[in-house]
Amino acid sequence: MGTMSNDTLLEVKHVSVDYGAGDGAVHAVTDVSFTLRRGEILGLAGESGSGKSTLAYAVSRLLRPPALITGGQAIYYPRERDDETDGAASISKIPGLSGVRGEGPVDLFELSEDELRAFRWNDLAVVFQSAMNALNPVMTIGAQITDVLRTHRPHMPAPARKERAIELLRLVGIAPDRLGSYPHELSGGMRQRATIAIALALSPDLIIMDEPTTALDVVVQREILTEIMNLREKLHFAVIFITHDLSLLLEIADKVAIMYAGRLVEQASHYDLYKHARHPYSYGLMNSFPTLHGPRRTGIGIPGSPPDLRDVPPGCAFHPRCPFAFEPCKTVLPLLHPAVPGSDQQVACHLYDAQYRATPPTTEEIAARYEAIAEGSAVR
Amino acid sequence: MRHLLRKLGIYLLAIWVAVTVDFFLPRIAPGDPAKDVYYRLAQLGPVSPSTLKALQIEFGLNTTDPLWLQYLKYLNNLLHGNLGVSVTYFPSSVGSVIAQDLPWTLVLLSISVLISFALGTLIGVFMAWKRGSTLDTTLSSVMTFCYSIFYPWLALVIVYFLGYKFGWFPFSDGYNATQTTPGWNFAFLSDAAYHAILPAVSLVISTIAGWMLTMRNSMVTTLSEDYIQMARAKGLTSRRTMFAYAARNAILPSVTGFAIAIGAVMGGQFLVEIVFSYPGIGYALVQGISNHDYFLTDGILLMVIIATIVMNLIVDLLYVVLDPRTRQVKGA
Repeated sequence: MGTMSNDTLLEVKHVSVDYGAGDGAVHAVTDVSFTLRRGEILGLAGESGSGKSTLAYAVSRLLRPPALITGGQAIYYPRERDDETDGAASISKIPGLSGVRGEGPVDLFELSEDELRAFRWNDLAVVFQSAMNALNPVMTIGAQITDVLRTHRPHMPAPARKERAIELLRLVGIAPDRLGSYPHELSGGMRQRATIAIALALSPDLIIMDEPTTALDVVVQREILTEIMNLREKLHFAVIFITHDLSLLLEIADKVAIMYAGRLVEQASHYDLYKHARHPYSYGLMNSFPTLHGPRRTGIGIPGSPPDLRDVPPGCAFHPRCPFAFEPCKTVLPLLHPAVPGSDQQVACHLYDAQYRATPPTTEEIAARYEAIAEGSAVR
Repeated sequence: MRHLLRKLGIYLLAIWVAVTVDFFLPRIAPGDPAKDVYYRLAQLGPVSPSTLKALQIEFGLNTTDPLWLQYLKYLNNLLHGNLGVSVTYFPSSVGSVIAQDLPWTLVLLSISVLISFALGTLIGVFMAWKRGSTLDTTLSSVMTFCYSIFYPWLALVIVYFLGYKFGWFPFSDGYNATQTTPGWNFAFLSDAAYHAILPAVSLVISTIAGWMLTMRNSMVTTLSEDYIQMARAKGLTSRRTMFAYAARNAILPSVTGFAIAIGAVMGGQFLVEIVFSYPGIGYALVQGISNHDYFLTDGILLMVIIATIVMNLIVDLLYVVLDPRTRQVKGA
């Protein structure tokens, strides 16, 4: 954490978000930190209510009351002006200085209303979960692209705006004659492509994608993912990809962060996570999806359900559901630390703390324990 | 286009049903218009029984035709624009009575309804945008109060204070007949506008709350939609988000409500004209009913029905313009 190298794009430090205040406050996100590098895809995974969307919306400053950011910073490192020339090779440059670029790091939580408006879409765009609901039903696709340009590039002439809209549609694989179509005239997949085109309108450095493929069938889902990967390849934007589908993240994300009850419980490269998920929760989440290929095995599930965020269990929030829970889990809050010395893989679990347990469990051990539970419940 | 034709067909059917009901309903009611006029004439001076006979012929009451034949004749007359002779305003034809009174009603009604709808909807937009603010909570309760005021009481209070007690505005008639003559001259038009203020104000006050609350509630729902969130994320100005994204979608239920409300507003208009002695067709209708004037009441009800249906048709067309989802998908 805290790498100040040149390619850092976003540094989220100790962010907490509450819904409501006082005794009834729901602590949706608690003390979350992570770093995102330029062009990197960070996968944010967890069950419903784990705080993953809240965290992403906090970073984009889109939370609305009663949600309240109660602490932390989100430091954004704008692109150097000189960098403007490279990078977006296959998409035409869009004239005009944008957002907060070239002015040094800024804390997104400190931006004024006007700065925020300039920052939005110029630097950070959002692709929402359901494209049907995210597109204005009474405006054509073209108008929904050009109104971004009209707001952020007021000097751009109308023909140029249209040109740009056509270019963007082509980029995401939509025929330019769809410019005048309304959202309801497009298929689900096309709508999601259109929202991606809108997101790319100002060549942002960061795109938050909130379950962009959840509402689509698997074939279209695959197409959209491939599209996102290709576009990232061409345009070098970074992505915060939110999903509950961990197997999908393992495929596309460079780095995966797993949330439970508002906290990060594990953060690792997709490879490390795939090979050896350290946190018992991560392992359970990852293996709760049956695989199509590979050996037959007992389907496992995580027993119980996520905690009530108004009343999170003390110590490790996962301990009531954890097959490995032991004494310290009930009282001491585990913090993120390297799973094994010198590793990038960080885990918030006492199993990997030499103070509590001499040798951390192996992946086989975790698997065996979960399978035992699964068998047990099958017998019952 | 087929969609439109089907709509037109439905409306024609509605007009036919209305016309039919319109024909049979007064004939079920007791009373005889020829006798009414006869007795009225008798009070003025001696009349011979042959006058009654003449009146019956004039009104078409001497017929021995069965009802269904009368009905067909009635339809035929309607098609030729012949609405008969008014009993109340004898010997004027119903057509000329309506032609004289309808403009008053239409102008007063359309102006006050448009003001009420536009103003109410606009305020509703702001209330929802500033949801939970003092503006919102105060207006919400004031409007709920306005919404539940009994209209005749409101009208009488307005007549009494603004018209009678303070004498700021005239509270009867459509214009001052002693000073102006009807026509396209400034003196008449300004006088007519001056006379229309109180009835218009009463109409606006009694209807604005409905539009405001409808729009506010619809807008509050719309504001939680994803595309509003996306408009904010896009960094659009709040004005653009408020109007092009939120209000533009939230107004759709209001437009539908508008179509439904037209009939009720027309009915309410009669009350306005009675309280303010306004020379519109509502006033004429009341005269017609109390004089067993089949022909006038038939004619006016027909006009009201046609006006309501035409307004509905306009709203339908407007809806197609406003909501692309109701348009027929081209070729797909």
